[in-house]
Amino acid sequence: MEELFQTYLTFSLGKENFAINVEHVEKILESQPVTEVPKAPEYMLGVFNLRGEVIPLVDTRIKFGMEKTVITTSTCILVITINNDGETLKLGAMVDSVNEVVKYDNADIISLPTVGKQNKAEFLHGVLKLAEKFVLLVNADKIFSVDEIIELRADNFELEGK
Amino acid sequence: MADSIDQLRESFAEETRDLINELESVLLSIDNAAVSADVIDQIFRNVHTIKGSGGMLGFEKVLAVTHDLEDIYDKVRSGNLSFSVGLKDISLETIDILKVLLQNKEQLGSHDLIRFEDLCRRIHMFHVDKDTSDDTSASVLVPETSSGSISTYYIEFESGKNNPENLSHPIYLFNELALMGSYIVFSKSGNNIRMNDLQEADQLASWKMILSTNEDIASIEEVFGWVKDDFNIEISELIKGNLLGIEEAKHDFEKIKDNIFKLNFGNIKEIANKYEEDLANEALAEETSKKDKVLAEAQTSTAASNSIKSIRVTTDKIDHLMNLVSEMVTLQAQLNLMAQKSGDSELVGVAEKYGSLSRQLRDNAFTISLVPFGITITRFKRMVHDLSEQLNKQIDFVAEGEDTVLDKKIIEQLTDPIMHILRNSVDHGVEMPDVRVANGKSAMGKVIMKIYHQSNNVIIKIIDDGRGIDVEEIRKIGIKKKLIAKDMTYTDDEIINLIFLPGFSSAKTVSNISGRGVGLDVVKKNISEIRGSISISTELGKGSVFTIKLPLTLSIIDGLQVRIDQRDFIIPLFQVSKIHTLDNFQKQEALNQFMIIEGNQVPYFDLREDFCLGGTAPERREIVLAGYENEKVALIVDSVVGENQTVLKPLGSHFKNQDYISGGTILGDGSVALVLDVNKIVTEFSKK
Repeated sequence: MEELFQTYLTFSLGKENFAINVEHVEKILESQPVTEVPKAPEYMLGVFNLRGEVIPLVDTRIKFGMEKTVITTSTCILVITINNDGETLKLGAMVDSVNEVVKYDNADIISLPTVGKQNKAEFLHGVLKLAEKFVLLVNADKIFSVDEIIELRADNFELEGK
Repeated sequence: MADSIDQLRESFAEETRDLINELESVLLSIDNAAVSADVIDQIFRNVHTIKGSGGMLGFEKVLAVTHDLEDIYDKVRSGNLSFSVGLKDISLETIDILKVLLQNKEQLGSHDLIRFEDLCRRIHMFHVDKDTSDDTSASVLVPETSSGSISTYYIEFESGKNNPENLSHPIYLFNELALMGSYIVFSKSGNNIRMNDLQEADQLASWKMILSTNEDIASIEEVFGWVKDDFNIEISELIKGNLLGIEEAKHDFEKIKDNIFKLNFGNIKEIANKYEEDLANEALAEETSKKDKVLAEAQTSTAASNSIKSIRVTTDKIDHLMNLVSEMVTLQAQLNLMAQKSGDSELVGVAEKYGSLSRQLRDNAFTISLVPFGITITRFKRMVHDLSEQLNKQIDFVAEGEDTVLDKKIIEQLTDPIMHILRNSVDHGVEMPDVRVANGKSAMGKVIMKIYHQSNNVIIKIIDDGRGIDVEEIRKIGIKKKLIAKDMTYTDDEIINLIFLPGFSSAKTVSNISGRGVGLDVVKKNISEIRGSISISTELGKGSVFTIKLPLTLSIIDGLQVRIDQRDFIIPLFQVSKIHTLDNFQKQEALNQFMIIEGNQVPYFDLREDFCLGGTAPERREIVLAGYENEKVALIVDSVVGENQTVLKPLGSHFKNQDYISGGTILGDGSVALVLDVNKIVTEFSKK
């Protein structure tokens, strides 16, 4: 039986708001010294040292189809674990800011149309409306295991009518 | 209730699997040793336990197949029946059936069922007409192997004058030699050098050394292996016995230290000979004490087998331990830095002690992740046993050094290559018994597998006394396959190494030549994937030796730390052969990705360009000459920082397309440096 409530951590990339299930989130760090990996895709910023482990770091803004991150005092790294075909991967996702932990009733989640001109539905669990803003619930297992840039913006999903 | 029975059955299956493996290795060990009462006792106990618990938990078929076998071994135990080859084979078959029974929870397919019933009948028959074959009883006496006795060697070594900036540092050689035994070193300056002085003395290029060790000349030569081209080395045996164990002899050498470079081997031999008698007496005394020791060991071994020697730990826990330890070592380096900055001598002292402790802890933690090679040996024994039976060959397979430990991951990846080489040795190396006898050999062929440590490496040798490899045949095939030119001269070594080339083996050549070389390219590839190397030496009619050299662990590597544009990279030291300064002259000569180094054309890779790092290169840069398969390549870096022992950590699948980086490692300041894979760099950046 699926639980009725899910706990999400919300974060921002520029003006866009996203949320990730807290099950994925292991730690939140301030920005870290990073070692670049030569000739890696642009959204792979490199690797950093997390208490003796070498962890890959993703520029989430580039990954989601935006301009690259400019580091400020509110920039954070979410250390998340994802499941990719049975393999557990740990990575750091750099975001502009981390906002809050919230509990949503599953019933409040607006599911996305599975057809559309640019179907990105598989990368999202759904959308929430919070204080008149749309919050995209990212499917971390999916989005962080593919090697592409996935454009995710609320206005891509024709949500206005809902 | 049903649950708990199932749980019991599950744990029975697991326990029994262990017992069966133990039984199998005991049975296979009977090949080359006299069957002692202890061994029979152990077999009986194992069979008895399997039968007992199997019956209790309702494993009917397990009970049926072990019941008669237990009786048979009971008779062997009480002397009413002698152990025979037939009994051994039937016991091995029982093991196979037991494995199937456990695997399938006693549900057998029709094929296995027939096998099972047939086996039960034969065991029963065996049991009834007891005195089957007395003359085939396997009571073979093992010849006493003389374990390496100590000898004293005289070593001269002089660096070639042409490369004074050679990277190799005598201290590493001495460190390795020091592990072999005791020694005295003389430098040209006339001082005999002790370990601590070596740092300053490293510029001295000419040495003489007297070394007492129980290793043979070949092992000493191997220490010099990678510098042998750069130095003139002479090693000769001075005298048998531990000459440096005698105080007066040491004193004698002290006396001649000032003019030792005027003396030759003969003069030194004279000094040594004075002590010949003393040494002979010592050897005799040692022999006696060794016998006592063997006796004492035999007595304690029974007691030891009852105490728990090892525990099982999941690999997760060990990985976690390793991570914590690496983190601690990193923190310690920071502490050291801060202590030195503070200038507080007490704090520095504590930091240093803590440093040495944490290094010990790290080394210790790493040895935990190593497992004895022996766990896989049963499989090899079984394969040799089965295959030689199938081919009607008689083969005595001996494995030495089963206790040698190495990384579990390496062992896993070694099984296939070793199986392949052993199969080759049994199938194509060792001749049929009649052929062997006709050639004046014993009908029984011998295949030996030796595993031992040598400094930070593990060496595996697979030796057979078969027909060897015909160099001429290989040469012909090499020419036919256009692997070598017809009109060039090659050394025998170069020719034999052709068998490791991908183009060499094909189904057709198998029947043409002795059959060696079937898929050996794959063996070589598998071994180089775990940073090992393989070589072969052979003598026609006498046999072949395959030598595999491996790192002790995949997770620690000795690396050379280099910098490019303020970034740190590590090049595995085993691939580095030399470091040069890149001067303008060489840059002008550079053409078509080649540059001239020491008169040779060497392909080069400017890592700053290849990695698209940008920035401007400093005026003075350095070249790291690295080995790529059998070739050399030059890697251009900004500067060389120094040597570094590093813990290799994978970067994960996000960087799977950047496979010229084999992983990351954490430096003393907590930052991550990337470890380069030289082979992959060559393949990746040669494309354009």
